[in-house]
Amino acid sequence: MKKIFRYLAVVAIAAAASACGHVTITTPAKDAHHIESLAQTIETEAELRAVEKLASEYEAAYRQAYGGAMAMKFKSLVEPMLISAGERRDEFRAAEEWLAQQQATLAKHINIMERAWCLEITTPDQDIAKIEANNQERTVLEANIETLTAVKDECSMRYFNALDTPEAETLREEFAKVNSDIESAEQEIDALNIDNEVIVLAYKLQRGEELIVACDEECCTECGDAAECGDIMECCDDEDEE
Amino acid sequence: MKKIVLTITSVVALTACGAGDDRAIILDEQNALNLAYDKSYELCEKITQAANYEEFKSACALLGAYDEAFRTQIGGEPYLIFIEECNALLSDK
Repeated sequence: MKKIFRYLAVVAIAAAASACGHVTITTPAKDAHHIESLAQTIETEAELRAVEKLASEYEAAYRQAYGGAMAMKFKSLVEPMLISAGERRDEFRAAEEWLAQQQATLAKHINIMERAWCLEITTPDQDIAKIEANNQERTVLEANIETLTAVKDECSMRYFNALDTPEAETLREEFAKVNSDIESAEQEIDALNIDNEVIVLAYKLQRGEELIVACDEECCTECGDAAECGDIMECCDDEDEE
Repeated sequence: MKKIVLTITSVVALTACGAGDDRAIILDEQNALNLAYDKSYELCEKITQAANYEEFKSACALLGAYDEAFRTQIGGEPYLIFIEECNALLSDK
C-alpha cells in the first residue's frame, strides 16, 4: 500500500510538473535537489521514466531561458542522480525476480509432494519399470537436443552469412523454430525428471520405503559412483554438475 | 430452496473461518528475522513429517497462511529468508 502511494506521489509530481508542457525553474542547484529527492525514492521502471522526463523538461526550460551553458550545468548535476537511481531500480528488479523465482520453487516443491501423496503406487517392480521407461525417453530427448543444437548452430552461421539477403528471413524463422523445439524437449525432460521424483517420493511418503532403482551400468562406470547409484537415480547428472 | 440456503451458509462459514485464520497470524516485526528462520523450520518439519495426506494438506495450508502473513505484514529480507529457508528444507524431502 505504502509502495503504491509513493509511486503515485512520484508520478503525480512529475506529471503535474509536466502537465502544462513546461516547468518552473529556479536555480540549477535547487531544481537538481528537487530531482534528487524524487530520484531517491525510485524503485520501478515507471518511476524512473517519470523522473527522467521531468529532468529533461527542466533541462529544456533552462536551455530556453538561459541558453545551453545553464542547461548543461543542470544536466551535469542531475545525471549522476539518475544513473544511481537507475542502478537502484536494477537492484530492485533483480531482487524481485529472485523472489519470484524462489516463490515458484516453493510452489514446485509443494506440488511435487502433493503429487507424491496422491500417486497411486502399484508394486515396486511396476513403478521402477515406469522410471526406467522415463529414463529411456529422456535419453532419446537428450539425443534430439544434441542434433537440434547442431542444426541451430549451423542455421545461426548461415543466417549471419546471409544477412541483407532474402534468405535471411527464412533462416531467422528456421532458427526460431529449432530453438523452440529445443526448449520444448528440455521441458519434456524436466517433466520426466519430476515424474521420476514423484514416484520415488511417493514410496517414501506413503510407505516409508526407499525405492531402489537399478542404474545403468555404463553410467555408473563413467561416474565411478556405483555404490551410490542404487538409490540416487541421477548420479551421472550429479557428476555432470561437478 | 433448502439446498441453496445450506450451500450459501456453508460457503459463508468457510469464508469466515478462512478470514479468521489469516487474522490470527500476527507477526512480531521486531523479531522478523528470527521468526523467518524458526517458522520456516517448524512449518516445513510439519510438511515433511506428515503421516498422511490430510496432515500434509493442513501443514501446507498453515505454510500458505504464514507465507501470506510474512509477505503482507513484513516483506523485504525476512520474507525472502522465509521462502529461501523453506526451499532449502523442502529440497531435502
